[in-house]
Order: sequence, then structure tokens, then C-alpha cells
Amino acid sequence: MKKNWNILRLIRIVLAALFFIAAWGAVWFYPKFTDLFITQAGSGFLAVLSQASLGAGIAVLSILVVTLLLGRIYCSILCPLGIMQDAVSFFPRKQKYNSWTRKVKYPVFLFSIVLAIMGFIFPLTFLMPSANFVQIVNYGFREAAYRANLGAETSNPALISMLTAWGMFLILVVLVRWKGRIYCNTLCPVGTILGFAARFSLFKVRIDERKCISCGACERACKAGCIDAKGKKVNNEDCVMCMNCLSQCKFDALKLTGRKPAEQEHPGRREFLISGAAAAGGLATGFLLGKTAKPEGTVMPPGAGNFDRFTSRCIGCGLCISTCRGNVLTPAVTQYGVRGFMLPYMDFNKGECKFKCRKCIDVCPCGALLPLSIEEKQRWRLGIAQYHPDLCVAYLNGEDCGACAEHCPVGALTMEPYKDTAIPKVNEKLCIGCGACQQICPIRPKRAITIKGVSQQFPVEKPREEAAVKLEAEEDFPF
Amino acid sequence: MDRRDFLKKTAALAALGAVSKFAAPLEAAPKAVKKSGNPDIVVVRNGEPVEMFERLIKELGGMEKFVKPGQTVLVKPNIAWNQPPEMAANTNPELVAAIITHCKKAGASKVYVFDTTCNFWGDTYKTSGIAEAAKKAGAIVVGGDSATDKKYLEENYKEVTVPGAKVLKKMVNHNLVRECDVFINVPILKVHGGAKLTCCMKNLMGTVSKEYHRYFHRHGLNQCIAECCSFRKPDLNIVDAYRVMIKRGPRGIDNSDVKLLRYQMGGTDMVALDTAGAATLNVPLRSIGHIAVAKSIGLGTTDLKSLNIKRIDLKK
Repeated sequence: MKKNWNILRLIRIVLAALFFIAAWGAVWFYPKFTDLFITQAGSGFLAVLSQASLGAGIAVLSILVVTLLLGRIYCSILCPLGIMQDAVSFFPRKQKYNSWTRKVKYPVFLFSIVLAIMGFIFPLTFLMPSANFVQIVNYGFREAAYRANLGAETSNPALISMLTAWGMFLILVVLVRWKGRIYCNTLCPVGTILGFAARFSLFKVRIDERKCISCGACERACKAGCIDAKGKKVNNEDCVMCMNCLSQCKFDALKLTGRKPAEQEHPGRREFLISGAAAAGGLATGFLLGKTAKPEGTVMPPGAGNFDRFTSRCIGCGLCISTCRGNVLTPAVTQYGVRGFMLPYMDFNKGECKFKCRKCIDVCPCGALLPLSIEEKQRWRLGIAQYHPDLCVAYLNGEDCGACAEHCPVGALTMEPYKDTAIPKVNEKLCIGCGACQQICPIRPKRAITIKGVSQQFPVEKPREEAAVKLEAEEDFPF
Repeated sequence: MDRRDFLKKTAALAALGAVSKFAAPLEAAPKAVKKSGNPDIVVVRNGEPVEMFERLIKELGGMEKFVKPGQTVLVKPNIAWNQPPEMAANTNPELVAAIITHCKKAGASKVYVFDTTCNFWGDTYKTSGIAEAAKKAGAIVVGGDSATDKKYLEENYKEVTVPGAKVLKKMVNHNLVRECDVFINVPILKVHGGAKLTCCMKNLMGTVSKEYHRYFHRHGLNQCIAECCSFRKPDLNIVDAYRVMIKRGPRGIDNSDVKLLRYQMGGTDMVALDTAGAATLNVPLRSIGHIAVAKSIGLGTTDLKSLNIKRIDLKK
């Protein structure tokens, strides 16, 4: 009796569509929903490694368990970039078995992992699927909609960041057109890890060799290129469990079943050699990168710690940027040097770091930002204000202004008498570098007060509570 | 006979005939000298915001004197900062609600509430408690960020010329300021780092778009504040001094910056009310530039002695 496999495919498509809409909506419209990116395996692994985050740990463990049961179903229903690839594969081409994916995926994986371990995580900025998804939606689509005046909000990325995101999207479309889910089976680190786990999964798509006549119907339908119809085998490591193939078989030879573990091919000698070479290449690149200069004065987001810590943990997905209420976090172009392209930095000409907000810390899916409480964050120095009297209207023209001191949330700026007016004075013990002063300073193009980032973030003193003044009005009417 | 003479004479007449009849036991008797119809300024102390307002508006002749049936009203509180009511950075929400209720009772067709905020408006409207209180009282809460939300800016603000202005010849202000029939200004009394005092006049800077605030700061804050206030004088000013900010204003850092003073003032002359506010917070009048400018361009008087001030202590 022929089983109706189509129902499984339908369930997969419905779940994927729901998750995709939620993820897209979270980035585009509703920052509160960005918490759902905790479901992302790649950044989850990093969060577990860098902060032993419990939530991410549970998520990653569940994904692994599901993969050991059902294969890479994650890649089809929880990976937003995977779903995006399915969404752009209208009029799919007939596919062919890709026998060579391992020769690419292991070297790419080892190269980037060796670099990541050495503290240079930036290749993952362009390889991590959840990061690419957020970048494409936020800097690509949303920014384009904003620039075209379609009513979208903006996270103020530079033009080059927008073009990079569009470049990623176009490359993705080309790859999908060329060989379906080839990105997932060669470049994606999550695909590589989950693929490795999927070799041992209980349920797999298998071919019944006695029934199969090698007609190739399934192979042509397989967007992952993992079915070898001639050899009558499925490379389950590359299979993303889309179930497209199952209903194609007219001979009931293709099944999703838990019985009879099929023989899996193991990586061969050549694959080991290439991978070893890639790892060595990563090591060498790491040493070279270690010699590049660190940026000075660029303000990192709260909880980044120092530059080395930050660049070894942040994959530049930009969820913090899409969530940033102050509209102050922006993807870097050259601000961090070669190691920090697309990483978030604070641009106080665009906004201030809201005093009562720690959304970036909350949302960071990979643990790149220390889990500061709101009280800790309100004393956490990102930088320090620097006053440039040669630009200030109060100093030059004797005008009362005081906009900077007015906006300082920690009382680190006080207006000190100067001639007929008053000019701001920075209390270096209290300033946290939130940028409220720089943001409001009316001077253009260069502001009269700016924030210089610190190389090591740390907590500052609490302001002293001053004694309250007695008012005459408390006794009787003062006039 | 000028105004002062008129006041003196009527006061004398009133004093002759009816001291015992009119001087209620609640008044601070020694300072209450003049009486001529409704007072210019009413000061109430030692009550809760709503009860003080009920008394204050009664003394001013009732809301019916300011709002006629069918008119639209703009209530402009201070909603600038993302601070709770306890921090006294924004106008007391109960007072705002009470004003709206009275406007509605007087027959106002629509009551609008808005401010151009310093912090993100979504936060300040919520944290201040004003959005919720105003909606409950039946007002239309208008909000948005004129700095980043182009649509809100285009739909709600327009560039206007300020007649007779020397510096602020043009500004971009909220349509409601021009379109409403009655304009009620509801500032909170605070000290201010730049302008030294924020009361009626500084509060009106919040009718101007955020981008234009920059123009104020660049081209002489005091001159611009006064000229901005000359565009449309509020029909009524209610100064919330229930909690006041006595230092590190206008934002405030911690509780030590706030004092529970339990005052409220009301009147039509914003310059006089600002002068009274300065006296209340011990801020020297000569240090407040925009009051001097406002006086010189004839927006009001700083001579409180020339005015009929009614002082009411609810405790006595």
C-alpha cells in the first residue's frame, strides 16, 4: 500500500512559513519578538560556550535531540535562511546528486572554527545563517524600504552595509538557482554540525534497494542534492528533511523510516587532508590577524567588555541593531578595522544609548554582551565625554545652552560659570559614555561634545546623593 | 486711570466694604490685599493635585470661563522625560486628567494632549503616566517623534513665521497650537541647567519640532524661548508644583533632586507665573534670561506686587 507522504511535506511547509513570518516580523516590525532567535542553533552554541547561557543550552540540546531523532529537520523549519532559500526557489531546476559537498564543508568549517577559537570570529559573520538572515532583512530589505520612503523604520546602516546585505541575498539566490541548498551543505557551519549528527539519526529517508529501479525521479526533486539514484543511496548528512522526494517515488521504494540503519559513508583520506590544510590555513590567518591594529575610540555596545572579547564572540548578526531603541547601534564599516566589518558600534550622532534600556544585552543570541542587569548597565562605562570648547556656542558666543548637561542621565555633566554664561564640565568619575550629550548637542557638523570609546569597559562610581535644599516655600507663600 | 490705579481703587473699595464677608478663613490673610473680580494668579498649597486644581479653577472663575461648549482644547503638559511621576520631571498625570475632565464638563468637543519629548516619546508618554491618565479622562493623545518619524512631522507640524521676532523669525510648530480654540499650558516647575528655570515659557518649547530645538540652542536659547511664546499665548496656564525638581534639572538623577512641595499655581500671565515659580524655587530672577526677554517684548509682567494674587492654604 502506498503511503501518502505529501502530508509530511505539507506540515513542514506550514511550520516553516509560520516561523519565517514570525522571524521576519520580529526583525522588521516588532523588536520584542526578537527573543525567538534563541531557537537558532549556531548562535546558541556560541552563547553556551561564551556564557553558559541556560536558555540557549536548552534550545541547542533540544535541537540536537531532534536531529538525532529526525535528521536535519531544523534546517527546514527553524532556520530562517533555509526557509528563505526555499522561498526564492520558484520554478526549481532539476537537481543532481552532489557527491563532493564534504570536500568543501569540512575545510570551510575547520578554517572558520580554528579562527574563532583563536579569537577571530568574523568569518562567521558571513557564514552563520541566522546572522545572514537578519542582515538581509534589516540592512537589505528594510533599509531599502526606508530609503524608498515606504514607511519602514531604519537602523541607519551605511550604504555599504546595505549593499553588502543585498550582495548576500543575490549570492544566495544564485546559489539556490544553481544547486538548491548548496549553501547549507558547503558553507553553513550549523549545517555541517547538524549534518554530522544526522548521520546517526533514527529516522531517515532511505531507499529500498529491492524496489528501486533507479529512475531518478527522487534525485531530480532533491534540492539538497543528497540522493544518488544510480547508487540507490541517500546521503543523509546532506538531507534537510524537506520530504519533497518521498511522494515522487512511484514504486514505494523511498521511505522515511527508523528501521535498518543504512551504511553511511565516512569521510575519506582526501577529505581529511584538505580539512587539515584548511585548519592550518586558519591558524596562519589567525596569527596574521593578531598583528592588525585594534581600533581606538570606537564605542562598543554595553557589555562588550574589550575589543578582543567582543571580536571573539560577536558574529555581527545585528539583532541588537534591529532592536536598538535609541537607534544608536549601527553596523561598522571601517570603524573597527578589518576584524570588525558589520559588527555593531555606537554612533552617537544618530542617537543616544537609552538609560533605561538593555535590549541589546537581552537580545544578543550569541552571548557577545555580558549579561548586565539594568542597574549595572546604568553604571557601565562605554566611553567618556570630551568637551570641545572651540566649537561650543556657550564658550564662543556666551549663549546659554546647556543642552548636554540637561540630557545627562547620571549627572556627570554640570554647567560651570564661565563669563556671563555657563559651560559644561565632565565629571570623569561619573560619565558612562551613553552619548546623550553628543546626541543633543546642537553644533554641526562636528559636535562640541563627543564620546570617546574606552578600550576596556567597566563600572563607574555611583553619584553621591547630595543634601536637599530647604525652600522658603515650604514654610509660607514665597511671593 | 491706568490698570494699576484701577486695581488699587477697586481693592480699596472691596477692602472697605467686605473684608469680613469675602476673606475666607482659609486665605493667608496678611498678604491678600486686592480684590477685583477673579484674581490674576491663584496659588494653592498643601493639597493633593486634583483637590488643589478644583479649588484653583473655581477661584479663576471656573473652566466655563475659558472653554465654551463645542470648542477644541489643547492641553500641553511637560512629557519630556522617561521618568516616573515621583521624579517630578513631567507634569503630574492626575492634574492633567483633572484638567481634561473639567474641559469636557465645560463642553469641549475635543481635548488634545501632546508634547515634543526629549527622550523617546513612546517611553515618556508611558512612564510619565500621562498617556494613560489622559486617555482615561477622555482626551485624544497625540504622540510621535518629530526627529525621526518623517510622516509624523509632515502630518502634524508646519513652518510658521513668528511676527515681530528678532532671532526666531521662523519655526516649525505643532498644528494643534494653531488649530485649537483654547490652549491650556500645564508645565511642571523645575530648575533647568540651560534656561535656569522651566515653567510656563520653557514648557512651550515643546510645541516646536525636535529638530527646531537645535535652532533654539544655537541661536540664543533665552531669546528664542521668549519669541516662541509670543506666537500664541496660552489662554490658561496651570503650574504643577506638587513635586518640584530643586537641582540637577530638568531630567533629575535621583530622589534627592525632588521635593514634595504640594503647590499649584494658575493664571493667564505666563511671565508672572514664571516669576512666581522662580521665587518658589529660590532661583534668582535676574539669572533667568528668557523672563527678562519676555518682559521686554511685552509678554507679561514680572512685578508680582501689581497683580491680584489669591493665596490659598488648604491646610489652614
